[in-house]
Amino acid sequence: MRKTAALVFVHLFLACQLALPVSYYACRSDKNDERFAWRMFSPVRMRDCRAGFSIGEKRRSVQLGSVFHEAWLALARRGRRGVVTAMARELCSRNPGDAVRVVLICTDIDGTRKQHGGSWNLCEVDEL
Amino acid sequence: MARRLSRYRDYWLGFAVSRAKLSWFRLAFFSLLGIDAFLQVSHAPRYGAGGFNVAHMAQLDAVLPEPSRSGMLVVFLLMSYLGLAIAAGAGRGAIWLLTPLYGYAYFISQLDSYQHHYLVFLILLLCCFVPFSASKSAAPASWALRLVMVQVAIVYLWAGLAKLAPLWRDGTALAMQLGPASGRSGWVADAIDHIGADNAAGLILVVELYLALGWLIPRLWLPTLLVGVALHIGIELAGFHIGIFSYFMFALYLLLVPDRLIDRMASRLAAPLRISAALGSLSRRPSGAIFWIATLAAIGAGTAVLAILPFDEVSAVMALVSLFAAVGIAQGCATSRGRRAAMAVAAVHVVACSGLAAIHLGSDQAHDYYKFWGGSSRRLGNWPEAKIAYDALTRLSPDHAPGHYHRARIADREGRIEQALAGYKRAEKANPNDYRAFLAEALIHHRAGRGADVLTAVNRVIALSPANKRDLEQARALHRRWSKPGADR
Repeated sequence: MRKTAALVFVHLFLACQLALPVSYYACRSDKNDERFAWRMFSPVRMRDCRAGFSIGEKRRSVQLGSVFHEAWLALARRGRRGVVTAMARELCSRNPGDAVRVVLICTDIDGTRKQHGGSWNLCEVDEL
Repeated sequence: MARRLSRYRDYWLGFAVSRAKLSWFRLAFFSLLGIDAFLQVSHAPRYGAGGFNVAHMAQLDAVLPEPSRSGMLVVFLLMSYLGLAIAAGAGRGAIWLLTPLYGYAYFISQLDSYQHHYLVFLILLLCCFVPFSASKSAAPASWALRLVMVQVAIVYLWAGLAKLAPLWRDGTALAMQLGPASGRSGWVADAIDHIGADNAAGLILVVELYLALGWLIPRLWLPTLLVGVALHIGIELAGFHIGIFSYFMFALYLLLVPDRLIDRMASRLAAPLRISAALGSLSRRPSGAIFWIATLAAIGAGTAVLAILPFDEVSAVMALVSLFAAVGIAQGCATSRGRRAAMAVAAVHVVACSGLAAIHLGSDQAHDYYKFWGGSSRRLGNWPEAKIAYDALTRLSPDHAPGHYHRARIADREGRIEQALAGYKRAEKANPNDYRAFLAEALIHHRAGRGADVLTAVNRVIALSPANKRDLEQARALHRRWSKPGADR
């Protein structure tokens, strides 16, 4: 019985360790989020991203350093959309009634640039 | 088919490891874990700062306590204690306690996105099932340890597959991370420059895929050990900011060391390192009074050592580690080895507490903890916390100029001018080449109309020629204002 339980555990563990990295390649929409995929020293890790937040219809910019710890800003610079979206949500809760917009521009090491977000209000649409 | 299935079952369930290898692995892996956990203390202030957090999994935010600076500090210190205690011989209960604690510390916030911490968590989870001390067998079977080895192979496999990306294969990524373009110097950068970044990148890819295979096939363990250790020495020497990841890998590579060699090492070195056994054997039949005096003194003395840790939360940590030790001793008394086991637990507790204190004395973690706490509180506008942090920082490091400067800035902001001036003077004395304290002092004198003092301070600022043009211009404006004839009246 204990041996069977051990073998069940082993195979569940292995299934997770195959499924989590596969999910990165197969279905993770945010390729900058390399967690649980064992992609050490990958080129993606070296992407340089800039997240620009603006509040209200006049799109006033936000001094992120006075709202978020710099470690979160570092994660945003890595283009982690989950973190950037959560930061936007936080700004929504601190500025009720105002629109919060984010432009995330990431530059690959070969110079290719990609932009996410920009026009829509993240207080209404919960995805960058 | 049945034979194949039987061999497959045997691959997992029949995997035997020498007891000496288990002891060495436990000593190396858990010592490193204890050190690594303590080295996270300086990161505690980022948790909960500004009331913001994103967990690794959204559901965790709802079910687990929100991380906070003081909470994470306690967690890191307890993790460090437990890691050191397990290295010294604490039983499986300590591993079962450490694993959820470590899991909480990792998964509760994406602030810790180190992949090696995720790997350590997985190995820790598997170590819950490794018979470190339960079996009397010279080579106990352990499916969990086999799974640890397969897990390492999985890491290499995915790491290798990730490097099939064109930007890795053509050497661009490696050149940017390690080559001369990265600004890093040293023989690793020179070697990459010499053989070409594309060739080096290809070599690393092949090595990682080989290591994935090597960890799975016992016949390949010796070459895998040599290749893998060489790779991680290279990674360490390259100077990446990856904490003590390479050292964790060295600890894992102990599992590939041939049994003959490790048995020889064990016979010479391991026995004295088995602290619990050594100290447990000090008294084979302790009398009731001696037993209680010795164990209580051990708990008291061990815990008292922790009082040197300069954190407000240390009393909570001391209470918890004493509780762990007391539970361990009670469990020890309940076993067939009885009092000897209980005394061994007390000895392990002393070793773990002393280890924790030694790591504190040998590192800058407490200093950095207050420095980072002060810095983040200041930037987030939490002035009461910034004041507490800088007060503690200047007590801990009386010659730390930025600490005195920022503490004085807070006093200045709150209108405690004399304290601010005294603080700026301390900062100037601690670092006469940092212009900021001189400029801040000049501004206080300017507001008070003390022209001569303004000039003394701004002359120093101008002489230091700060790179910040705005500050330099402000100093020059003050100089012009107070050098006019009759200005100081």
